[in-house]
Amino acid sequence: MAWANILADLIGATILFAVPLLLVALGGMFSERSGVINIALEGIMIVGALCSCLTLVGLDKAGIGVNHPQLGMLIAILVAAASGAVFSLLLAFASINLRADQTIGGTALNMLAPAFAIVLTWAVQGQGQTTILIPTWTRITQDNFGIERADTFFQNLIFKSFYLTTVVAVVLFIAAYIIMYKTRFGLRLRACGEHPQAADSVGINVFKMRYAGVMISGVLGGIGGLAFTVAAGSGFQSSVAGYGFLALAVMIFGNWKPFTILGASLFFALFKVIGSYSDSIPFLPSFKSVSASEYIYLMLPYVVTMIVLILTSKKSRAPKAEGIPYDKGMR
Amino acid sequence: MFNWLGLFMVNLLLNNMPKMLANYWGATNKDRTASLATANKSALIPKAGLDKLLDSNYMNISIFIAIVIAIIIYIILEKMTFGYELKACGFNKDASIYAGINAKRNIVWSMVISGALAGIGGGIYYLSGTAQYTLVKSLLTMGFNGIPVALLGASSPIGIIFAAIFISYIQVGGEALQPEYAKEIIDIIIAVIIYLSAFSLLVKGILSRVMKGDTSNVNADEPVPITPPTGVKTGNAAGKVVGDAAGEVVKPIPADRIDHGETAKPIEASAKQPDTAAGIASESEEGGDK
Repeated sequence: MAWANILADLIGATILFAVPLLLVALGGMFSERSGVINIALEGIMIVGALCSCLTLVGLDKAGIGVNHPQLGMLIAILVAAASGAVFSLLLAFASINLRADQTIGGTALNMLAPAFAIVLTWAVQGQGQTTILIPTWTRITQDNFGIERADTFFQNLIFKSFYLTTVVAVVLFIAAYIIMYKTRFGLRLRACGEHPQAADSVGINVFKMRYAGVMISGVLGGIGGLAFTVAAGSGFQSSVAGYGFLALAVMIFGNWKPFTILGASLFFALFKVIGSYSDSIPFLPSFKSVSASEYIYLMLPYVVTMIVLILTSKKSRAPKAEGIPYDKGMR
Repeated sequence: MFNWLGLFMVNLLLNNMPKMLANYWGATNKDRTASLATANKSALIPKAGLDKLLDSNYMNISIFIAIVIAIIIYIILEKMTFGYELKACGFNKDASIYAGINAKRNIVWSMVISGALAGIGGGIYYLSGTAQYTLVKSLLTMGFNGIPVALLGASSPIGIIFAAIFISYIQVGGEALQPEYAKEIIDIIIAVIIYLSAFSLLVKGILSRVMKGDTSNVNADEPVPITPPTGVKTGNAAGKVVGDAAGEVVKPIPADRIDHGETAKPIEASAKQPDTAAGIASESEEGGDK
């Protein structure tokens, strides 16, 4: 039974950590497919996580959360999406209207977000209180479905770390695929990322499309921030541990396409989980002669990704016009 | 990717090297490298009396090392063929390949140089003896702060000297705010400064309109590569040349490739002009390396 339990834990944790990567990488995909490099994903995640965690704490204090836990979680997700979208407007304004360098704007926002989060957390919780604790009712347990608790493989697999964000991520993934490839809007968005002048010549408003792309990435990035915070467990500490940058890597790894991004995020999360639980997985070699051997496993996801990227980089294809501000007069 | 790779690799190496960690040298903590003052005093960067002159323990000659390196980089970038080729690749890779520059080699070189400079930065920081490397699983913020410094210095080596001093000045000021206020307020200030530097395009457009005294020209902030942007102070005839050069920045390079040195100067001059004239269009494009 022990083996089954470990396997269930492993898969559960992989899915849990794949969710933020998937959501944020999908967000990055929307932004870059519309032609705006979104380095600010990390900052968007932090802002989304900050606002939604404050919402969760507020709901907890108001007593709504305990009575209707999943309604509270849904509100938090909506708040995360809205705050991420509002924050991403800053990037959109600088890079679309002012035609500023998109990397600069993104870097500035990445700096702004954690600092803003810390200052706001201090302001709300008092001096030196840097952690926003997430209420325990956010997790979906067996009680929500009225199922008897048991130590079986499937219950360990599903209920050990099951949050509403996972469900939302699945829904959003399907929605993202449909929007990107099956709607008029998606086609126009992609056109703006490939050749905005051509798109403009057939009457598509490039500015509007790029705004839409960046704001969708804000929505997904904000929800991803909340998903990361509930996955990381201990509460929100004004940081998402570089997951925004990881998501960027996942997006490039996933070749700017939804299904490959799904595969890439699962792959990356699996290696990440193996890295952090390496000492509790029995069948891995433990490198007894090397001290602090956990670093070998922590390095693993990055090494594997680099190798895969080297092997597949010939096929990788970025949107043509990404990073170039749209200028009507340009040839 | 390589951020984390480097981090974990260094942590792994430090853990497995004898005599590296602080606990070998009598300290209690195992999570950081040995303090250089106890382990090996001769490895410290010499202070050359500057600490007595300025009455500060933090002072050593590394500031001069940094400034000298900045000047060397300036000379390489502005006065040498190699630097010109590097910049040409940054402006337009395809055009520089067309002009006979080995763009791939130049891009690799630029990465090598930036890695070397970042390495010197890390070395100087820890060899000053005031800080110990801590084995943590998160990245140092200083590496990321280098990006805004470069942007604030408008990607010019000389500008970066002053930008670096400015940013570290307000950061040290932030440490002094500490008990009453969160020092992250400083990060907010820096972030806002950099974000607003993106507005320079807007301000330049307004300025050029005001200077020309022509408010009806809606194209003032929308420079087209072929025609000279309005509000450039360098007369009309020069503006024409500038406009052409802005369109095809690297056109004159083949001549430069043939004989080095002598001809580099006039070409340099013609390459610098689009910098100022079309600066409105290509403002801070140099800093766009991710």
